[in-house]
Amino acid sequence: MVKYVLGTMVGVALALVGVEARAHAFLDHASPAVGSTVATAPATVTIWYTEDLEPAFSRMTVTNAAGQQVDLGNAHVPPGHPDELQVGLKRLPPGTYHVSWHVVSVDTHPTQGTFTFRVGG
Amino acid sequence: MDWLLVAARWVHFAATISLFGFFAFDRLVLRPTFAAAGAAPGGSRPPAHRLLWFAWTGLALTLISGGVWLLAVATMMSGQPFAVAVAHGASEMVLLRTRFGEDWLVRLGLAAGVAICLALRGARGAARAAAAGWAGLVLAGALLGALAWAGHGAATPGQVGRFHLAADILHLLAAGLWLGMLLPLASLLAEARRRGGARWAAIAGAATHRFSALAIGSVVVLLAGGIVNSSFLVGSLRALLGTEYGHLLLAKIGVFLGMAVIAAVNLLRLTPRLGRPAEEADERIWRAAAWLYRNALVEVALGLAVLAIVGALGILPPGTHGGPH
Repeated sequence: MVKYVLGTMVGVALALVGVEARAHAFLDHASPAVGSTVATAPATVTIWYTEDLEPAFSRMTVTNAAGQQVDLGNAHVPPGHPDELQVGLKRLPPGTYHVSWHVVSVDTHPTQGTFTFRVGG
Repeated sequence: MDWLLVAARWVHFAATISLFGFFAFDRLVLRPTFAAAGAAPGGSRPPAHRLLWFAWTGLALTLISGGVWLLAVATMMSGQPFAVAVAHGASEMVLLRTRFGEDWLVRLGLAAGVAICLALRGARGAARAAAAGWAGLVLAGALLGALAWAGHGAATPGQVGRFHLAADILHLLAAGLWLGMLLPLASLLAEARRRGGARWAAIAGAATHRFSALAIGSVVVLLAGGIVNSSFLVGSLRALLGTEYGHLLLAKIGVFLGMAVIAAVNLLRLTPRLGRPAEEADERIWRAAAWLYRNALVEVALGLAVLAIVGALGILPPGTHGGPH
């Protein structure tokens, strides 16, 4: 029996070489949309993900072209919407804004990403 | 750290399944078989002592691998090196503020209950021991089924996610029933061959028939749960063939088919040979028992391969998310 078990363990370990951990909660869509230009300044940035999130390990920041933080620092998963991450924004003048997010899905896997949006013409 | 996580998941699934299999075999196969065989001249009592160490080992491995799994997940979630994550209390944060942590704590309580049932299993009084055995079966089943909350099965959003979760729980329990009872069955067949004689031939035959009936039901549920899981996690032939998740799932299905072929040989060729009347016990019956014993061990080895793939699948993005390379 021992040789069967050991043989299996070695065989499977070799077969699985190359498997890497990857994230599971991917950005599904966002508001403002990724890469979009909006006419009026949004009050929040909301991102919808492909899986539910762990609020304790999920965060998002928004910065302007100068790298200054323009969100209110209140990134949170809204109650009843476990697959959303939302952050409030200061009053945004026209310009380009950079959103950076890092989340962990409920099946424990972290992922992160960035996108930009523009306000005004 | 990825490898530590895969290894921890592998050992944890195998150990939890072995625990469930121990109680299932004891209650659903061993006890009814010996009860039907009647009082036991010549000491044909169930070889419980041989299986009990197996259950305690399974419990110990469940706890150790569960601890390693928690540390690996805390490290991954925090995004910090292992030592930093542990020192900064990432494990406590995971335990107290995540679904994985809630599930982990609930399952720790279930494991404690299983330990009590194992300890009480040898209690004086048949009724008390039987109650401990049945309680152990339920708790070990819950310990196994609750693994669904620690993986992809609980991550599907919305109402349809509950259906996925239920399918995953059934998939786990069916896999546990089949895989988990293989080693106890091999142990019983080995014991029967060692003891020899018409009585033990009849016991081996009756136990194998009971096991086969449960295994057939398990495989049906296993397939149904697997199809539902795959539809949620892979979703298309393109994703099955074009993603790393899909490739591993195909490998898992391939090994499963190998197990199913062996099981079919056991069911159609070997088990009927054990079903002869006891007075006809002869060399052919013991040859069949020897083949069943070997096949059970080969199935265990293949089952461990399947569980290793399960360990890796849990850390990969499902095919529905990854998209073809």
